[in-house]
Amino acid sequence: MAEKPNTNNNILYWGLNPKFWATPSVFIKDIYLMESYNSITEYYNYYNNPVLKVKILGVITAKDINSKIISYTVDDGSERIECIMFKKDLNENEISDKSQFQLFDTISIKGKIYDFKKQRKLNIISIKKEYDRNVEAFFWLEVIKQRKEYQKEYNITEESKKDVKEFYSNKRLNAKQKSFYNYNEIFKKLDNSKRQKIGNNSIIKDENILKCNVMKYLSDNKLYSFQFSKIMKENELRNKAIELLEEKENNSASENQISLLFQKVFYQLVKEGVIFQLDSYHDTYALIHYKYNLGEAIFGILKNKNECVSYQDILKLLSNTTAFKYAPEKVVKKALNYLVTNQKLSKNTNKDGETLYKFIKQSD
Amino acid sequence: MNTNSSYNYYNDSINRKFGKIIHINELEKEPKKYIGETVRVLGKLININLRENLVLLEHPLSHSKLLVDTKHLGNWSGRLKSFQQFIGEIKEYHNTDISNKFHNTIIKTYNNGIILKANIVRCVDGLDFHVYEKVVDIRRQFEQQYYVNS
Repeated sequence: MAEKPNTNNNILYWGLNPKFWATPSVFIKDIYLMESYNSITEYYNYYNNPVLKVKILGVITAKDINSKIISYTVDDGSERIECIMFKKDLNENEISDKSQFQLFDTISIKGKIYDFKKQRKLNIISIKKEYDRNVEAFFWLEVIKQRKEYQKEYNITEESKKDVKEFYSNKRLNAKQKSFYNYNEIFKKLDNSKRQKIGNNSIIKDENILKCNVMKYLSDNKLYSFQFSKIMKENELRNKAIELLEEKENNSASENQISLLFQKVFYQLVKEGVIFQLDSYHDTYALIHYKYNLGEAIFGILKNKNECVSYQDILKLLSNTTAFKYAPEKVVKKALNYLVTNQKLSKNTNKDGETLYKFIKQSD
Repeated sequence: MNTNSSYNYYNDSINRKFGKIIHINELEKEPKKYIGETVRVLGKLININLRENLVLLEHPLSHSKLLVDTKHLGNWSGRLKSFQQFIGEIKEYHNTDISNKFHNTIIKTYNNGIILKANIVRCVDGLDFHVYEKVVDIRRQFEQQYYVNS
């Protein structure tokens, strides 16, 4: 007989096992030997694997069609079981299709196990006639092979169990507070290797802190352009970086780690359109400014064109440049307004309501 | 071609057992063991007597024979030398001299003492008999190992 089902504590981890999501091929006798779980009676224990649906293959030895159900009794040499379809779940075409199977037809059925009046039955999900005479023998071999896999124990690591428990405890907590689940809390607790696996686009809290510190430093010191190496050597910023790394790694931070952290921060600032690389040879960066660099760049682009250029086209042209491809629209609009105000560009609107800009030739 | 004439009869048999898969040579070796059991057998059709509803099946490898009663199959008739599969009950049969029933002087006596009362039949031409036998043996070893205590 099948072993007694596991305790309720393991229900949380069922989904971690890939076999939970599969439909095992079984002998009909196995279906009778499975015991249902006390708390979740829809699931049945198949060698310590909870199973909802199964696949069987056998011959029809009895058929019954009445006003409510279509029922086939299937025999595979180990046992026989009644497989049922409710007519209310089918449309007219399906009813006629599913009624056409004959006695001794080889059919494969995928169905849900259930108990009704102390009789075990299958509720058919899909039914298909097999025409190949050898399919039965091959199915039996498949069942034997799959059984060996199902008997192997699936080890769930303690770490995964902890993560699952935490997820559920947070879910319940947030449901009470009616707030979104805080993904970052769990994310922070993961070590670096897992964070990298999750994705490079995710902003890490530590980098955010350092990034804010760098921005504050640039603004306080009114720096427009700066070298990467000098920023990294600034005591205030360097100490902050070391503090963040030591907190995370639980040991002293190496030069490589400090450099890597600053590189990530600068990369983020470029992607956000805050700074751009002014000179790659000296590794110099500058703040994107509507007047000093972006405005000049837009002026240069429109100077080469003798025609009116729409706002969308200006954005496209900027995205082709290496320096300003991440420039935010807000700063672009500010630069255009500055150029129009200083009579370097003219601004018009065409019939479609689109704003057009044109270079104004300066008289000497 | 499957027979559907026995549909109503078989449909009433809620208490019938499943058809245990047996080879004809096993039935020949220990016939009494299977009396009263519902079995599924596969064999080559070597002789038919439509008047008395009797059919002789042969195991292709060991040439063991099995007598089958096809009374419940209605107007069924199979092609000689085709592979047929029957599900039915094994009953005692005391008439061992069957030379009069089949017009074949080679088949003179049938000493098994059993007959298969067939309920349903189908033609399984195209089935690989060697593979089938091997797989049935593998399956039996597997069932002995896993269903011992059930």
